[in-house]
Amino acid sequence: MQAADAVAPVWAAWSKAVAGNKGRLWRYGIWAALIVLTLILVIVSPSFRTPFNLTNILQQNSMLGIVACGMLVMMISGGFDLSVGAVGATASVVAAWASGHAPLAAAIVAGLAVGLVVGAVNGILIAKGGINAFMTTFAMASVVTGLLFAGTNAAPVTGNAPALITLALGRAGQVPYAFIAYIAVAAVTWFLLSRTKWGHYVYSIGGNREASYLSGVPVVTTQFAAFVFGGLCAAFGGLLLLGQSGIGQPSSATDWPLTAIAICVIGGVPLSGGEGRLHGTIAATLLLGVITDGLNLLNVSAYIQPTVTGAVILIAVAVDKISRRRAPGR
Amino acid sequence: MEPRLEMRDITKSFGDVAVLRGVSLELAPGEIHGLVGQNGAGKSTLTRILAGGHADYGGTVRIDGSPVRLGSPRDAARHGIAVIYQDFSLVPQLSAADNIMLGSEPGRVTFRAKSIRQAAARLLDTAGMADTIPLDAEVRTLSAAVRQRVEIAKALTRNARVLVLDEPTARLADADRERLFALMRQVAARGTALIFISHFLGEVLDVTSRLTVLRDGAFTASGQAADFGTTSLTTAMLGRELAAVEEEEASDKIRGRAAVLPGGHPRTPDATARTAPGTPALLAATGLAGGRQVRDVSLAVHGGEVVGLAGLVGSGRSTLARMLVGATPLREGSLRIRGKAVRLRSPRAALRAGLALVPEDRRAQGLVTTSPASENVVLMALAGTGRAGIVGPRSLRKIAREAIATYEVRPPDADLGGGAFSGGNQQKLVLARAILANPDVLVADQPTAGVDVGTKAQIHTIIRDLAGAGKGVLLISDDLDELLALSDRLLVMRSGTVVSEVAGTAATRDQLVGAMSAGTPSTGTR
Repeated sequence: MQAADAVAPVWAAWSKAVAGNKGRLWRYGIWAALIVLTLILVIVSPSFRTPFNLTNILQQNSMLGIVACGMLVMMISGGFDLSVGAVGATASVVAAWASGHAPLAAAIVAGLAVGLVVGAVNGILIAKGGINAFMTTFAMASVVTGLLFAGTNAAPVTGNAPALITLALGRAGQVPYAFIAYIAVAAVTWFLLSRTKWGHYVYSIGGNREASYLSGVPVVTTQFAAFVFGGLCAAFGGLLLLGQSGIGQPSSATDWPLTAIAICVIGGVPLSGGEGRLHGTIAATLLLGVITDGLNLLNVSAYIQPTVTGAVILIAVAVDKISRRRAPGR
Repeated sequence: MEPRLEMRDITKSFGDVAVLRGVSLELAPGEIHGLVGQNGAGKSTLTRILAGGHADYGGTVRIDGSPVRLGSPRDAARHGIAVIYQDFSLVPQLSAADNIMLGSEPGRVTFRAKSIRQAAARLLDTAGMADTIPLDAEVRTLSAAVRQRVEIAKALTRNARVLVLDEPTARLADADRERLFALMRQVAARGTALIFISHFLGEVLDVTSRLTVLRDGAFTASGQAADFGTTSLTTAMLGRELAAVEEEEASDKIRGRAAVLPGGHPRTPDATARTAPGTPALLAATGLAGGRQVRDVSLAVHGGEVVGLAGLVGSGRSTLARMLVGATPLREGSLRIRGKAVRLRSPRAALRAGLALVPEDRRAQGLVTTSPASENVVLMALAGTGRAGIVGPRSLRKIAREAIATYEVRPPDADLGGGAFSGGNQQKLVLARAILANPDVLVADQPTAGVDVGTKAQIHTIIRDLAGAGKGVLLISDDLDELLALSDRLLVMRSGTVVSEVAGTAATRDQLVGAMSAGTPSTGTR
């Protein structure tokens, strides 16, 4: 009886939310897909449902999740960043090198500085110079990668950063530190996007840059800051990458840019910008992680795995498109 | 009393082209000031200078007596100038409240959606606009009339001392226009000075107290609105009388027409170009249904006739137009072209079958604004021919240049980007594009919306000319006088279906208004 009393208001609120948002529930469709897929795998695969495996998924996908948080902000502002992989690899190498010569804190700062600098240059060129994000960040990725290979002769750099290894691989009880870091970055991203004027402006410039400009929104600074934030997230991802292996590997992280963009698109961010919610990005990150993990545990050939992942992305995007068409008012 | 806004000797050039040549303007507090002129006369440039969009203008601007420099939109906002544009400058994905407060949100760094909403609601209250705007709705779900109210509310949040409305009525239904005018008077009564730009000279004379006329970037006349009539105003805008312009057009292009009807436009004499009785209509539709509300529409367009389609905003006219050219699928019904049943799955298929559309919104649906005029003009002709994609750039440019000359597009520059032309000239390009595809039937949706009187007369001539050449035209327009002047037959749509048909010569304005709005109170607002 008491349980029923406790549930009643929750149920009422839920029904009200559903009734008031008819046609908007698709926004949570990606969560439904994640939950359904997870349940299926829990049922069919005993090795999937072990707590260790489940937390392992969280651990392994936290790095990309952090990169995707930055990508989300850049994409809402109406751009995207193809240089996040180059930034991640460079940050890991720079931090690895610095950790052998200086205190760990300095190494971390050095790694993050890579993201700050590259993000700032991207931001100036795109926001102030008006060069399109594709060309700017594509070229920037080349420039940074070239410098990185020239500086290291393409050889891995061994680091001395036990704290980063703990962060990347350690756990507090069952909970991976990496996941805690991800949640922290996600929380910061959420706060910035939905509780600061800057975040509000990120949406407005992505939706209509000219209108925002004419309304007195500081469009250049806002987009500049979006790319700096994106660079910082990528660099943080690079630090976790260093932690995972203990070495800074110049040729790593090449798949980050497109994967992070795909995560955001699956999570409901249009390439044209102006909208997008963090929760969708989180769900999409976990969805891709669950798929990869499930395919491995079900012994699906590594050769065919990309096909399955690609198909899932296509389905997700198609479903999203259809449900948008049915949503009221467009 | 110090004028609220004083602009003295304003100049502005783009490269070698002087767009404004010493324009002066003075507005008293609480005045509604009309600004009229043809497309390309410099109204939009003047507006943009006030909005802080052209930092390199010459001349001086004073607000309440003190000189100000409008170097950026922020400057303009700081000095209390707000501009409401023709194509709305709102962020479609944000809520109405967010848009109203955009750029002047409460708080320094952080903000809460709730506080924005409260601030917006408070503001509407003090402005006397409470409950006229659904604050939580995303702007993209709102109608044009409501969006406009959002824009005005947005201007009021900035305590606008000067409010510029650039063609605010171009896409509004009658009831919404009246609401807008009431709101404008209310705003003016608080001491704000308003500049009202419109091509509808009648409403300019009604609403404004004084007005200024621009021609070719220079000031040509100003005075009390009461001292002008539509004729003297038109003469000031064109530099000659409208009748003379029309005559010139007519003698240039139309030959062998006898009857000149009250609208000033010669109609095709029944016996000549009109399809002989017994031959099938060029386009015949039976029992069409589709889109959100179009149902059971049957109509026919014969060779040599202009069929007018009247109706309120939201009556389904544009959807019907899209259905006819295959852009919106038919749920029911059938189409015949020259008596032969066709199924049109795309506008491309329609073009090949001889049907071309001049779409309603020339910026969003009409022009490829980034491509040069030449490519825009030949776009449909290309899609219609199916020449397997092989086209000679020379011959294309030649065709384009000829069209630009024929339709008097200004500036006559085939290489200029489509977006760089003024509204009326963009419309001519879109029209030329459809006609170059050599369709049997032209479906023209609002071809003269936001176009000045001179260009309007030219477009009317083009349309009558097409009919004279034996083509059929289905003309959709909000301008009843235009429909009455041009149409051989008039259809009236209401709530998705055709409710009445009258001969163009027999119809009266009152009759049309009655048929359009009968039984549907407050249509057009929501």
